[in-house]
Amino acid sequence: MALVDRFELVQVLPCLADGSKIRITAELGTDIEEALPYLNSVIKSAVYNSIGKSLTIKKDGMFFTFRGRSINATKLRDVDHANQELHSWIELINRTWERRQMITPSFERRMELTALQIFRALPSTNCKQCGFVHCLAFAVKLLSDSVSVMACRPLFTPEWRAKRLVLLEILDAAGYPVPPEFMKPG
Amino acid sequence: MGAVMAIYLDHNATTPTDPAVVNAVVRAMSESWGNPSTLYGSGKRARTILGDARASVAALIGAKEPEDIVFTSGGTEGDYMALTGPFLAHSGSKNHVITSMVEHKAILLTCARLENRGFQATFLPVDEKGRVDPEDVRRAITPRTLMASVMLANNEVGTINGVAVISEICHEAGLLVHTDAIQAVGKIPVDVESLGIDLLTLSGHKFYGPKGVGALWIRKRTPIISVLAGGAQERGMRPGTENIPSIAGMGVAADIAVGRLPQEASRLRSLRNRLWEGIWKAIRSVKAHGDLKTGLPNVLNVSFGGYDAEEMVLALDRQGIEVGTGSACTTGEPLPSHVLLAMGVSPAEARSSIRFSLGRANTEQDIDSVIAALIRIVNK
Repeated sequence: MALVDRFELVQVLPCLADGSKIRITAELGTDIEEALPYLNSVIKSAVYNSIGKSLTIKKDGMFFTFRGRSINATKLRDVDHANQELHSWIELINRTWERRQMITPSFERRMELTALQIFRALPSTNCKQCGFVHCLAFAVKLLSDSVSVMACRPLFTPEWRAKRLVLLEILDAAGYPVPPEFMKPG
Repeated sequence: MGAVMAIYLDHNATTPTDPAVVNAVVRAMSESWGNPSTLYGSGKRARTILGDARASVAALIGAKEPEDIVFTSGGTEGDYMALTGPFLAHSGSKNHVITSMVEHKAILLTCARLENRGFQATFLPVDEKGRVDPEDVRRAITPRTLMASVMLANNEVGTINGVAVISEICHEAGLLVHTDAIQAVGKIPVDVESLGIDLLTLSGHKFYGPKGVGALWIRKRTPIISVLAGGAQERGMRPGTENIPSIAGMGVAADIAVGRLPQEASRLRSLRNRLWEGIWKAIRSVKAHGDLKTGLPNVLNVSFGGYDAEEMVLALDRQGIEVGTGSACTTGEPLPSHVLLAMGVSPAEARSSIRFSLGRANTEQDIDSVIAALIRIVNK
């Protein structure tokens, strides 16, 4: 029997990032929280958040966030497109769940960052402009998402632009919220 | 049966079009459809409208010479022109622009594009109120700096920068100065001579004018080249047949704004303060961002600790109240506002922030209704 047998589009709004597209929320008939680690194992580009119990996947410029009873998605063309994508994902969820005995679930956050990795992408000048004595201390706070990367003022000068782009890229890949305005433009 | 109007508190996103503006647009569309670049009667009528609107917009910003106003398609285009035009005109080795971390995306992403093409940008930090320190501007100047761009008033928190002081510092060093005044024009007195700047951007739909029209004020003799190629319209700075109906509308909006400015600013400040007092008296764990004493009179940005801003906005919408958040959305999960993050607000607090931006139609009754709605939401 399929894990998810129905869904309902409960919200359709304009996409904030691209006015010509939409973002949606779909409610699922079943809680899929248990299936998320299996999906994390199967989908190599997924980012699993074990604390928030969510799975985020980027696909063809669209973003999908799976939680227990909902799927949020952005940058879809229209409602038909949304329904197509949702049907496709639900099929995958059901197939994965059906095969779960053969899959080792993964509870890891892909691109798990360490404070040291973040530190290496910082200017390492210990300038204290961020309010911390040492860049490593700032890196630790950044890792816990309790400060913003914008507190590191040198990163926003020409001298450290290259480091800024690298750091924002790795934070973004690890699922941290980064201000897109300061990333490398497309 | 007519629809029940929502209580609209997102005037920094856009403003309702004034009925007089609508009339002006329709009249221009019906009666003055000629091409202003032609010699005959219908062209002359269109040219007259252009001239009148130019004078009105000039008066709104204290510009002595109306011909220094270049009409654009809006704030984004004006910002882009202001940043790239001077670099196009520059034939030397200067390749650096100074701006701030809290500018509108139009400025930040234009700077990012310039960086991609080998130019350099410094994004200055702000203090906890969202203000740029003019001394930070001074410290950022190098022999390769061509210009600085610092916004006059911030769209999310309403903080007003000391642009006049910044202009002085920059001119001493031989730099050009641009200010994005999109959120300030029509809300507070703006005077290009007092500010001492070389370029200023404004946008019609922020002061009850039409969308899709704005202006870039360019001080005479500012070295700048158009980013578009084509006809000689707008002194060659913005080729393309002019959008007469929208320009006509913006001119009328400017006239109305000039007439209402002093009393409206005071009225909005009083309403805004009423809203903030009502919120902090009734709801715990709230924090206002920006500077309520010296910032824009109509803006209140509040974090509601422990609540998700987007869910609150939707809950308010269900109660007929429309407000804004500063968040951007890329993953389906709203990102915290870069302005708040730059001010040192934590990501969690930034995600719980709502921006209330008041306008002409708002009344005390509206404010009291919003407070009551917020109390209902947080008490659920």
